[in-house]
Amino acid sequence: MSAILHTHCMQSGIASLADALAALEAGRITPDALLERCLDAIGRRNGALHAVLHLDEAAARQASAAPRRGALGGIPWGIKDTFDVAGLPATANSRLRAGRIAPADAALVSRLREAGAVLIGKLATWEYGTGTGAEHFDLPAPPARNPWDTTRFTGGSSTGAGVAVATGMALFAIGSDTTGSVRLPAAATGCCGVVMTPGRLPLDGALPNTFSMDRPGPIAWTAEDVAIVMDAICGTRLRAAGGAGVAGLRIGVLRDPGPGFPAPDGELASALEDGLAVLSRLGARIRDAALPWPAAMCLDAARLIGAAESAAIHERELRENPDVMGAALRDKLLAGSGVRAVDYLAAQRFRRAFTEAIDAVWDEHDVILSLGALHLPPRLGVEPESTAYTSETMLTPASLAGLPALVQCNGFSAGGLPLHWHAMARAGNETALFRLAMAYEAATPWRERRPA
Amino acid sequence: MIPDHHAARAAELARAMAAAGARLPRDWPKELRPADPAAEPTRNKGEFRDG
Repeated sequence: MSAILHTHCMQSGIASLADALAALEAGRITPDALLERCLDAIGRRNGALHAVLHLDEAAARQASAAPRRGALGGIPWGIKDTFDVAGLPATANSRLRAGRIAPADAALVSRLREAGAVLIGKLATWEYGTGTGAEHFDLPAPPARNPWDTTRFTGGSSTGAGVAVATGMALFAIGSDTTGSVRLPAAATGCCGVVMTPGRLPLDGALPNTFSMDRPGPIAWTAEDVAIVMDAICGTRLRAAGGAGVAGLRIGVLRDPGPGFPAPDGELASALEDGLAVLSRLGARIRDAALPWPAAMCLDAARLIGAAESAAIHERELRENPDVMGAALRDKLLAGSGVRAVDYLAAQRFRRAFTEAIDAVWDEHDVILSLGALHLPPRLGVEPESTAYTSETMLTPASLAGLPALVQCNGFSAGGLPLHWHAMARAGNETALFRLAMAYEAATPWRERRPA
Repeated sequence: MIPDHHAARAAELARAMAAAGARLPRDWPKELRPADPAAEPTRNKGEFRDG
């Protein structure tokens, strides 16, 4: 189930978005041929993996046949079905939105069209891009499956994004992340997933999950690929800056998840140590770090804020159609409806204190490195494995404090599942994250493996 | 607002939320206002460093 093969893309020297751009620019491949590879992967794999929810083959063929233009000209990509794309279904995998066709492009879609990227279609998501971690098999589309082991969870809520990238259905994907919905799928599928400083990427035209923690985020096979996409649509120069290496970079390490969370999986913990040795050899300055408050407390606060804000946004659907929605969304909204105002405010006060206190951490460290999830991807639909996987994470401190953060593959378990780590930095300092991630991926062999 | 046939589940989930709230610190100075970092980008001291 977890066998690892080189894909035909790799055999042809195109394993990443960066490779594809180089091949396009050198005339070694045409946009049509590149798109054909992605459509072929979708044709062969999507029936079992359910990563692509709405394929827009005709529009993709038309876009790739047009003259190549823009920084991402000819690069096939996909987007989570919580974002609007003009003329395409926009159901957010919900019966509540069955038959809805988006009237206009989300702002991020417009930016990527301007950059020349070729949209293949909409990608799988938990209903409304949210949930409880539980999988009830009660949504319009079947759940996406992990290509490294199809009995395993893909990470959520952007369930199709990592799968599409890992299997070559798309060269990058856009998801959204409130408390980990981009970073967890990247971790589960062996990709790189990033949330930028709030405000870097627009949310207009996306179905909101919360008022104050939602962020769009890219997923790609490599950190360099993510940097290329962000440079194209954010005006950053992360690809160049990330290539500066880690010499002198101050990395603070969080090994202990802290009170309230279990000890991490042993293989994940070992991969963290092995990776630190690589970074140390490359010249990084590595020291122990500590959070102002435990990550488990951040989870409590994020849960209260997230559930209450979701319930406020979707109150009408819960009141009028609770039996039309899936059980996970209904549970989330019911829970949010029951949050006491004093608890919501306690969470927001904690959030302010945490956000201010973590500023002092950046006086000593450029990056805080830890695990993201504390467990390997769980068996799909098996509780409490799946709820533990999505809740017992080190992802919520960055969500609460609005910090840029990145998940990167740093090895594979004995059973062939991807391992990962999580890096976060001061607001605005994405460069530090990409210096770490690009140096690490250049020094290690993990990008040579793809799921069979 | 919650339909009757979901009331028991709603009560169970509300208890879980209250437990999460009870685990959070409560001894803040009275002037520490709740905040939304996403809505207050200038409050964070970070600077954009795009290389």
